[in-house]
Amino acid sequence: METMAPPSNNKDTKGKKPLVGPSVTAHKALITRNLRLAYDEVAGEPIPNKILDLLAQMDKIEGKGS
Amino acid sequence: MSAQSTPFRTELIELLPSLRAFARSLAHNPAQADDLVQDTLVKALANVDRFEPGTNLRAWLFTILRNHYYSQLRKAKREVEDAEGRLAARLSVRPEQDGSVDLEDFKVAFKQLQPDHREVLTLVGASGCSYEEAAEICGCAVGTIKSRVNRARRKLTEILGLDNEDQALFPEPHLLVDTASV
Repeated sequence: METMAPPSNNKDTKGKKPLVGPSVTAHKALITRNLRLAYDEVAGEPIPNKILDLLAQMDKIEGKGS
Repeated sequence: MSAQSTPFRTELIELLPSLRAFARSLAHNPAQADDLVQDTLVKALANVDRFEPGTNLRAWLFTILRNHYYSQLRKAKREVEDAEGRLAARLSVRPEQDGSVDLEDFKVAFKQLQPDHREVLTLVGASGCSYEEAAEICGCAVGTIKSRVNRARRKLTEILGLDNEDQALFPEPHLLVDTASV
């Protein structure tokens, strides 16, 4: 998913002070990239057995209760 | 409604990876994060009748998780502050010459952010939540989320040693592009 707006080349903005400097844009891209890397790293891990076991236990409880 | 015999259960399992990733962004270590996920599952399954089918299950689960996290945080505030202090003492992050940052250094810097900054950056910047969805999860206004993202990003830039004279050029929240970007 693209999140960073590309630098504007719009002539209407010519002569106006840019809202975001190039290094700020680069910092935003760097932060977004690393946030996603860190997030995807965890999301890509296998689900731990203790969580799967919990779900299985709750299945059993549900089965007995119904 | 039964949690086990409906699409709720299937969707819940599908959301486990993102729930774990969100928990990891808030918790101080992987074990605590998975404890958070477990507690969230127990609460979700115990309150499944409160969930309205067809609504946003991810937002519902994330809300349960964050509420539980903040509840625990209030109970254990002293230990958390101590842990953050130790973490800060270990931090030595300097950007590479080419402006890149090692992912492990990034994680250390990220952990130094306050929890509400970590959560908005994760929700909006990594999990794919819209600003509106993040606002629903955090129980605040969309404008609050936008300004919080801006402050969090600025703080992270500072911790990473990336801040320079351009810092003054960070846009005010109302000037941010209205998309879920960080």
